[in-house]
Amino acid sequence: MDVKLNRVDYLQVGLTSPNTLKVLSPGSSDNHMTIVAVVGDHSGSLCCFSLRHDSTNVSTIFKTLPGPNAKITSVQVVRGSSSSASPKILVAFGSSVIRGYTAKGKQFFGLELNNLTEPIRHLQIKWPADVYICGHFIYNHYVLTSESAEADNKSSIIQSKNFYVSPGKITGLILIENNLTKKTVPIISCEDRLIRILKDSMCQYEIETCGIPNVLFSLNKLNRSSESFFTYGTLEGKVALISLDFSKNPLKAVHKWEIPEKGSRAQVNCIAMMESTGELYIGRSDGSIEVWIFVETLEADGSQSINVDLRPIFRTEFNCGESLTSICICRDGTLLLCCTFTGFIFGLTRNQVVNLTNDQVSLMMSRDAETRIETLKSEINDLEKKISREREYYQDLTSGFPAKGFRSSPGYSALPYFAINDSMILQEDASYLLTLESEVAIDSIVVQSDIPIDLLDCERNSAVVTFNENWSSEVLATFRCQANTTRIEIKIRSIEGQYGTLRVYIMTRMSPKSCQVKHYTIKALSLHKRTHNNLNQTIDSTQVNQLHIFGSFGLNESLNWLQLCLPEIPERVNINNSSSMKYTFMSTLMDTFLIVDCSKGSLTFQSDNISTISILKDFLTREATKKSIPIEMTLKVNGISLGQTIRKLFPKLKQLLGEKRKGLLLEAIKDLRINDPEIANSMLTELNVELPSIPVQFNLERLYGLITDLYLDYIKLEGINSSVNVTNIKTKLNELISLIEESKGNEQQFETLIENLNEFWGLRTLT
Amino acid sequence: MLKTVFTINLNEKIQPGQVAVGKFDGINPCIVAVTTSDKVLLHNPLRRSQQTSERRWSQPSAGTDVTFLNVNQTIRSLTVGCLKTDSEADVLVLGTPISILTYDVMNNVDIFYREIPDGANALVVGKIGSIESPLAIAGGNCAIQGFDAVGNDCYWTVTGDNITTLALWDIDGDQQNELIVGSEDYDIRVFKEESIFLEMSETDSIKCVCPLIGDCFAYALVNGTVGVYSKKERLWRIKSKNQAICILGFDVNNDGRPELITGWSSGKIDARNMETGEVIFKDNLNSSIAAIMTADYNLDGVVELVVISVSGEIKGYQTNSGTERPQPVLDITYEQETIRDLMKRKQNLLLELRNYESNVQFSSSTEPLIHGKASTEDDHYGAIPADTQLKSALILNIEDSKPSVDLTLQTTNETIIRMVVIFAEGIFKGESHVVHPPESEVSGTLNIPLRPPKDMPIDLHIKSIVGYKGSYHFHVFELSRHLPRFSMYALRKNTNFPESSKPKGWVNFNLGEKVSRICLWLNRNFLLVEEFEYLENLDVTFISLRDNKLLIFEMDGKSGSFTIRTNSMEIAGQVVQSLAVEYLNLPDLSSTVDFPGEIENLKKLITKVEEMQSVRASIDADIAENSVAVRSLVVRSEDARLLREWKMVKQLYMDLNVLNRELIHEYQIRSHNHQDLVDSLKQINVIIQKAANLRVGPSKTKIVQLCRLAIKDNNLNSLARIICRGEA
Repeated sequence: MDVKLNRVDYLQVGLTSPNTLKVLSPGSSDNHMTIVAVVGDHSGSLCCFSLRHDSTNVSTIFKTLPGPNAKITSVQVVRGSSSSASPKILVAFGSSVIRGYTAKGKQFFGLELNNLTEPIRHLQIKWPADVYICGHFIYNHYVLTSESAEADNKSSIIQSKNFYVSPGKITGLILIENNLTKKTVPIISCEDRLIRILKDSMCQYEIETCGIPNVLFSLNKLNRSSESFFTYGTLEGKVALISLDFSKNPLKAVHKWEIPEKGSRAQVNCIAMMESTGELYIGRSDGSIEVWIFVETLEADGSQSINVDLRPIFRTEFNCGESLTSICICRDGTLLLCCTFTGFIFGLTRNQVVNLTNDQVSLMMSRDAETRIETLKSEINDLEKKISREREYYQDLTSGFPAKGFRSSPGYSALPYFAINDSMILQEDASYLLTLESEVAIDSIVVQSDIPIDLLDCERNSAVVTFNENWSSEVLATFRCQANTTRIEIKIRSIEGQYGTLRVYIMTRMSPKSCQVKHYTIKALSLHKRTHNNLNQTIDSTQVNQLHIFGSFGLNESLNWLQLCLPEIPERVNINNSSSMKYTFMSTLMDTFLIVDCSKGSLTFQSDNISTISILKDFLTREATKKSIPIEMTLKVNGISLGQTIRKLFPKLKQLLGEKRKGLLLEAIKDLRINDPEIANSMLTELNVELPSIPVQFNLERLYGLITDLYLDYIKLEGINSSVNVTNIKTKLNELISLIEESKGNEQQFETLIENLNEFWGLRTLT
Repeated sequence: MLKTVFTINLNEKIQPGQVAVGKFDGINPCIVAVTTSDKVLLHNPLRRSQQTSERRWSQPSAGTDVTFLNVNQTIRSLTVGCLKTDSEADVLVLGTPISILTYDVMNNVDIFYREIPDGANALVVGKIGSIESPLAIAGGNCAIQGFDAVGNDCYWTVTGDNITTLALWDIDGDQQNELIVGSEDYDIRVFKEESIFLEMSETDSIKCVCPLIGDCFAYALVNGTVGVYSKKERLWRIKSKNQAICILGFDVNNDGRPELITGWSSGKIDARNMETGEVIFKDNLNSSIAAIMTADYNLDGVVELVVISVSGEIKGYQTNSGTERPQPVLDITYEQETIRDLMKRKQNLLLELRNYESNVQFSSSTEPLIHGKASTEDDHYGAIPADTQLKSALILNIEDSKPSVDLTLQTTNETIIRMVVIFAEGIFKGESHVVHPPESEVSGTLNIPLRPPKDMPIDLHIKSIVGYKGSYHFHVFELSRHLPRFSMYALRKNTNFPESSKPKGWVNFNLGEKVSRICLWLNRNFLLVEEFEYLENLDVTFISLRDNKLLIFEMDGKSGSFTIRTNSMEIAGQVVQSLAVEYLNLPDLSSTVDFPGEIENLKKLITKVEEMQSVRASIDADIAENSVAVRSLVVRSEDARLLREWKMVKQLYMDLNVLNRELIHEYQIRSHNHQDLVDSLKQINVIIQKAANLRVGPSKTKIVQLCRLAIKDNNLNSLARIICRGEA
């Protein structure tokens, strides 16, 4: 099979939200391979179009007019129970309107939900009666009374059936079927790294995910007797499959696999699956479309079936340069219909655009393309003329001498906002990836930060970076983008304990030029992530440092503090449910944990990492003073935890030291090869087999810095008079480095290293 | 387009730029390259050089087509070329920090070895000017030297700084090659034999230059810029975040004109249209490109484009022959691309139109306007009064403790300037500078002090972000300002300076022009509050904002005699070049000069060089003596070992160790001495270059030639006279 994918462009609409391109008819042999699809954009226009197999031209079936506040966030296609019934299109407009259209474009259904407190973000409909809606935090299940659904009036009667408030922001909603009871099971994915399986107005089961889930996709057709499958994609770029076994009570969910196994990728925006051939398609925010293929197993009866239990194999990839919002499978998987953020709809075909043996078709194609090019050119010509007129008018307006007939009072130069699709994601390598995508070409980007951060080079970033010659301490860098750049990635490494605001100024290339500024907060413990492992059992209480804060502050106040210093704390918390909250975090940098217990008038932090506790102490003292809330603190510092933390860092240290040594030796051996090839070769093989490598996200310098900080924090918190003066630490740093480097990374030498370190810092042996 | 015809992996680390391809037997091309461990690698794809004796070329065990040559010195540059007029065979030329070595690969013999104290950073082989025989030309620290086939020193000139790249090409079409020289002082100079023919200022150190066709040549800079010049006029340039390692002209699409092939540090190669810079082909290798060459490397009769990466990957490309009909598939993808481009363009136009249309809508709508309010993220429009304008001014700020040229920006109403980004080359460390005042200090006026480090004209492209305090959306105001060449000099009306601060150095020459024309030059090249009107005699005093030193111009209106008074020969030279070459276009200008400070400095340097040369001789003798001692000790210890006289062996080895340490110590002294020598020589060269810059045309060339003669004859004392009077 030819695995190269070719792109054919079809049409363009406005900006699109994820999964707003849906296929009505995937193009099967009975309707001459004609594809019918529908897409909704941010302007509120819904466009239904068809695509014949022998042409690259699309013909519009219907198109609704754009309207104010009618951003389309969700499009659903439902089919009647009988196969002959034409499919229906259900669309969520703006914050509260749902409309239904027939495939011909006739509106048959309308619904305005005025009692919603949040705009509709996700919509699922189980025709004819059930409507499932998610806002930011609230899940609603409505039932339409039967007569109203069929009646052609716009004021259907609906009843709220179920209602659930999620503790974490909802990022996705799917419905899967319980094969045993034939009941519909709604599943939501939440920003707090959990997927929640709902039952009525309750959450019946929580599944911890391998990242922040961003998209859900059900594999209903693959469901086995009692097992149902669905996949999710995360902001970190992973896709994982979960199997739900409904026969077990309580329900059982199993993670079957996650891809890719290692490393971060661009965030997953959409997933599609071709069940018959066992191909999984992943669309990412960096514009790549990946094809993964499942292994097929031979059943006893000779039929082949797809084995979803096993990890699929990477097959091919295509990059379109813009973040994808939808992938739909047409014509039995020979054509992928894709939609990007800026509204480009294109097809990816596997064969060489058209069948080359069929000359007539290819000729037709060229003629098609020719006429398209012609029309596009003339359209552009018209537009250019129009624009030059408008440009003159604008120039007159802004020159300070308003043109004749214009009001004497100076007018305003008002420029509409350009859409920016942005994300700032903590990655596996303990750095943030800031992604900015704009609907217009970006001219340049200025990054400004109040606190010291590192801007790392990003491979996919082609912009020319200039760091300011600092006249002040702030980080300022300019990224001058190459022509036609609409997407840019910037990698940022923050330092825990330093918190502040990052401002990103985005200037467009389009005239009149404008600039928008995006703000991002870098929190004090920016490199921590939420986890749901119940750590209490595994924690050795002798190795825990504890900070307890109490005073006359409310739960809201303490939650507010947590939000300011820790990532992934939801903006809104349903306080009614409980009087206390518990959050668990892991440090992406050091693998240490942090447990937060939060209730009215009391905040407890437990961590094996002294630096974390120290940062929290400083932060909370400052915040409480700022708001003049009296607080009291008790602090329990545990010296043994130092060794524990270093133990967690030790494998990385070992690896890095090994690599450093290897790097030095390798050059020398290469040189030796010219004079004494045999010895050199044997040395080379020896060197290569030495260590199995583990991924290490950072360099030795950062590691040394972490260890130094750890001890400094310990000394500070304990108030010990260390022989190492904190002020002359700089000069002693080299001594420390040589001390660590001497340890060479032997397991036996670990204890010695700790002892040496303790000695270095003038502490008595704590182990 | 190009298609890959072969790939070879040498599996050796290659130094970028230090690669060449040559026909050492006159027929078959071989690649020579410098490895990271300073050995010379020879890749002979078809192994027809069996007659090469194994004396110095050692073969690695793998038995590939690769052989190595050990030079035991740091190799700075490498090239191949034909030095003899009667032979087709190329010779290998190596440049080290202290010498140039030419080597006959086939017969495995040195052809000549010459010490060049300046070193050889760049090499080129070929004919230059009217000199009959081809030369191996080495560019060192400021000096350029050419040697013929037997090692005679036939050519010498100086340039402004360390030379980074050389190329030979007939730019003016007179059937004689000119020498294109790129140096670390950001300048590209073209020499017609000894005299400078063209001089272009760039924005960073020159990485490499290469000839293209006719009067066109390409250049690449250390900061990632690549561009093409046609004589003095730049056709285009682009800048990437990666660095261009090597450039080459090669006809990719068979249109009879070469495309510019660039090899990047990211492993990318691309081919660009020579006239527009449009990319027409690109490919990727796994590691940084080390070199791009042309040769018929697989001996199929067609010249390939040969690309080699630093990890030793060699890739050969061939152009598809022109007769081949383009495949229909390509055609369709091409159509698809056109459609996509057009769709993109249409979308951009629609968006722009939306900007204007919604502006009209906004103005005519009856909605309560967001008067003077900061826009928030939830709004849909960002508005400022339509009559908002941005005023800018360039003011010399002399009062400050650190004087500067101040760029002042001001809005005409209550709007504020949130941030300013200035794009300008040659003034900041990078290509741009951002001024982002803290939130509390944001206002409608912004003052930006500028301090151009060099005297060159600079165009400032300013983007100011204007809106309201705390806005989410801002308007971008773009404007350009020109900083004249001598903007860092302020006019002083009060001429009563103490005698001691008056500059002692001066240059005098006769321009034969009217004072009014010179006034015009002053108006154009200095930042003046009011322009100079007609004057009978000129006597103006400027003060440098960099060091508060004076710069005085005097001109006698009748005789046309012009005098520049300054203590810096460099500044005087720049004034002369700007005035006489750029402004008046004089073909020749001789001048009388006196710079007591520089002359004094030169004399000191000359004595220092003499001293160091004698010290060096004595150290050399010591080292030679010690090496003899080492040799005897090694032999004796080996003897003792065979005789199992262990005590003796130990003693001898200890002696050897002491001697070894001594040798290392001596070597360190020697290398230190050498470094000093190189630095001093460089400074002498710089002074010669500066002195030459005080003249124009043939007079300028004459200075260089006379100085060269004086140095050759070791008549260093006459140097001062040459510099002052322009004659020996």
